[in-house]
Amino acid sequence: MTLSRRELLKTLAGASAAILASPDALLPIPQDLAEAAETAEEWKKSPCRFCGVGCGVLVGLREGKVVAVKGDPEVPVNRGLLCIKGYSLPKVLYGRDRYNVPLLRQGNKFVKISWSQALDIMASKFKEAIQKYGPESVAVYFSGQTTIFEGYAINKLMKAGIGSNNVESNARLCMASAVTGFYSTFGMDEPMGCYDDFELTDTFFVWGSNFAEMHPILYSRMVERKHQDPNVKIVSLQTYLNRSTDEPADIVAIFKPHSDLAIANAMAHVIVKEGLINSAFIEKHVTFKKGLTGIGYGVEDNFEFGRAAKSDWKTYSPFADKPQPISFEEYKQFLETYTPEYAEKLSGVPADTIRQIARLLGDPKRKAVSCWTMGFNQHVRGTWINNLVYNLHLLTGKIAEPGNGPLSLTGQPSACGTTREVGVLSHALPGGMFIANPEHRKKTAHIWNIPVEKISPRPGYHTMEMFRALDRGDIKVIWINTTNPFQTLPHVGRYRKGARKGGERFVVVSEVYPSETARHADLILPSAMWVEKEGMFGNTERRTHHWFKMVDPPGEAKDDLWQIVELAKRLELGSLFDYGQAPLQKALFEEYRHFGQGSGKDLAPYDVYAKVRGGLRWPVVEGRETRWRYREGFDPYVKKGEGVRFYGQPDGRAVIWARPYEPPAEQPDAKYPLWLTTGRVLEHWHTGTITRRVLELHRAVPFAAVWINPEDAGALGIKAGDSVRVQSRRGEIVTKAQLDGRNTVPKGVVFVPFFDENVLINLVTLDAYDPISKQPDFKKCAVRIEKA
Amino acid sequence: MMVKTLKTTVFFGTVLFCVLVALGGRALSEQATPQQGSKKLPRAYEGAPPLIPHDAEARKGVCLACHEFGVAGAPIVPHPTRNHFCLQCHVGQDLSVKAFPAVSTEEDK
Repeated sequence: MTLSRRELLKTLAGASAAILASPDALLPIPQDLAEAAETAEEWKKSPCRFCGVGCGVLVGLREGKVVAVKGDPEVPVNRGLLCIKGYSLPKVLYGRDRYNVPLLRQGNKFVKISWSQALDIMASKFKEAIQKYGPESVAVYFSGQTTIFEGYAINKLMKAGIGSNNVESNARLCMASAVTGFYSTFGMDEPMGCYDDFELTDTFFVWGSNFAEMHPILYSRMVERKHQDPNVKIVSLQTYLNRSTDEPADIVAIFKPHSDLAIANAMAHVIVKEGLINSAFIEKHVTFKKGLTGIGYGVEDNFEFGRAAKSDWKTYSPFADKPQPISFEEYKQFLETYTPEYAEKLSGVPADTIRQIARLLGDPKRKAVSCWTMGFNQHVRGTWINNLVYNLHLLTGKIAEPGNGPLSLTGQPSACGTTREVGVLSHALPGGMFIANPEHRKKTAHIWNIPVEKISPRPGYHTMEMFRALDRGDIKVIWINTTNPFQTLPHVGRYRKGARKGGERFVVVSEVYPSETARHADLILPSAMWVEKEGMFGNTERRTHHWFKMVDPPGEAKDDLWQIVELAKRLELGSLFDYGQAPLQKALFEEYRHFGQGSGKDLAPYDVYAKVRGGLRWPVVEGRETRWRYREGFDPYVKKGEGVRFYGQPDGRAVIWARPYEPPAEQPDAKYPLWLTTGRVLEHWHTGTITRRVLELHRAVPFAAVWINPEDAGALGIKAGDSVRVQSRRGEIVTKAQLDGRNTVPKGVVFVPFFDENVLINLVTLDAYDPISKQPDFKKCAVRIEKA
Repeated sequence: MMVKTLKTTVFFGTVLFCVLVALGGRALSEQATPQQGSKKLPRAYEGAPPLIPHDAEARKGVCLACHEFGVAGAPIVPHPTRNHFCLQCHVGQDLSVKAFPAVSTEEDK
């Protein structure tokens, strides 16, 4: 899609008129937007490359460069609006230290080499390791910012070609618990509802997510809704005060880290006790189950549930829950413990506030939307807390219909589209299938046109074990692409050292700018980014976007799909990507589409996405997208007369889980008396590798401070701006203290964002994870602070 | 209730603004010290949102006290339907901060 300047002006004018005329008119286009159309010669459509909201942008081009962007008024996600990261997109491509040639480590220096040298070296390292130690000695670690084409290609190269399932994505650190939450409750991944619910609901519940800073555009839709209708209520449950607890939140509850498990169960307790349940819905569409408890925290290498002695990867078996059906009565018994008073003891939230929140959710006259992100997912009981919020929506029947539903927000632009849907994970196959399932391997081998024996039946290393294996030396060669693990892994000191232990280890990093991970590489490959290549992303609400290549990458930088195919050729696996004369991206997507067809994950043909501004939400059946899954009349997979069917489960019923409160892996004690929680700021994306190169963003937030409660600071003689040491059992950082501003932390808690490579807060965090999802917990560990 | 909140906000916002003016635009927090008083800052590109030339963090939540009607020469918001989430597009600037990374050398690459 290309628009001339005149057409764009016309579109902008027309779109604002259309939006104003529509009943859910929310964000009319500001007048001055149209004026900006003069900067560029030509405008093309793309999604934003930052968060999981998936805003549509129009990219302004002039003389082969991106010179401007504007929010695409025709994309329903953002209707012409962007956040400051989105508005900074033109600048992210043009930082002065972009990598533009392949670089090989020689001692402590990197020297320029040619692409053919780089790829030959990379291929020979892969071959050598595979020959000597088998395919499990090589690994790839990609990203939720990897495009669908790239994710599909690397998955195929590893699982169909090399015969190794050591394929992981940084999305393991970001949404693995959301996925296991969906599978255990609904038998199928990804939300049933969509963003349309924001204009259709009247009650919002935001759990442990600084939504205002991390998903700004979606947050603004909630705020607009509230300003249009004063009857709308917003409940914000957080571990500290932040922009998501500011006006217009109606009820703010600050809870102690990890006590969300108790609060959610206490809300269920109130809903059941006060008869706020929807009995007809429960009878027809719900079953009750309990699972294993006391499941551990994964801090040991090769951690395995129920294994006392030190385990070995060769015999490793992944955690498998043992679900047991229980009756509604037994579930009610389970809830007896979770009185609001008991939850108050654990959480610090007054029992009456918990009752008030529960009644709002249970009120039969109200609708309910719940949102959460990393507070739930980066949680040693992440799967459980996802289950517990689904319980609330299932008990009240407020799910899978307009204005009613839980919406698991995702962090990255294609954690859903690529990592989850394409299955770029060590246990997964495309289309929501699993390595361990023989039928799934058979279907996959058939589509890939390979003998089924080629696909190893054993899941590969999940992210934490992958980097532990690199440290131990079990993994020799790793290719890290579009992500920065040597800044983002918890307890990162161990994994940084591990990467540079030498021996036969070889670390390949595809990057765009110098990063902590690139500094730990043996070989750096310069990559193309965003509109320097063609791509497809999938956002939170199952929406698949496509964009075309618009500008050339700098110097010799090459896109990651080209890098994957070139590696494949050198490993004599080029035939996996031989589609004759067909354009590679289209051919890959059309092949990938077979995986979802008829399974409820149907995607439209490539050509449709190439045309449609704003993409489409799957399942796309007979050209129509689906806004609400599992509901008759909206979801083509639910037959007439069924009403609601959770067809991911064999019996069509969703599961209400009895999941208890269990303590976190580490808690404050006499020696380390404070909670540390980590996160992000609006202005920076993840590790700041891209956003810090944009001067306006860097000047907005030049460094990561440590937010301290004024009382805690006063007791230690710390004033705002003082240098402070934050120390845990694993490591320490020094940065400046901040006592107020955008965040105010309660007594006993400190907060440090992770974007700053000079404030490597992950030296301090703990590498404990949820044994079910294998997602680590970045939100809580014990620290002490002192004036530095 | 809503009206009362709004009035209170406007009142305290105006008071705070006067205090800030009295302080000569000095920062209240360590981060993002305003260097330029009320001077306009250049935009990232034509069409990019204007930057905030004063400390935005310390005046959080009271933007409209000045920018709704243009108190003391403050620019009036041209998009009245989008007045409730100013800081997601408009950010403050610490002009003493140099471009990142501070030095770019071959070794660093």
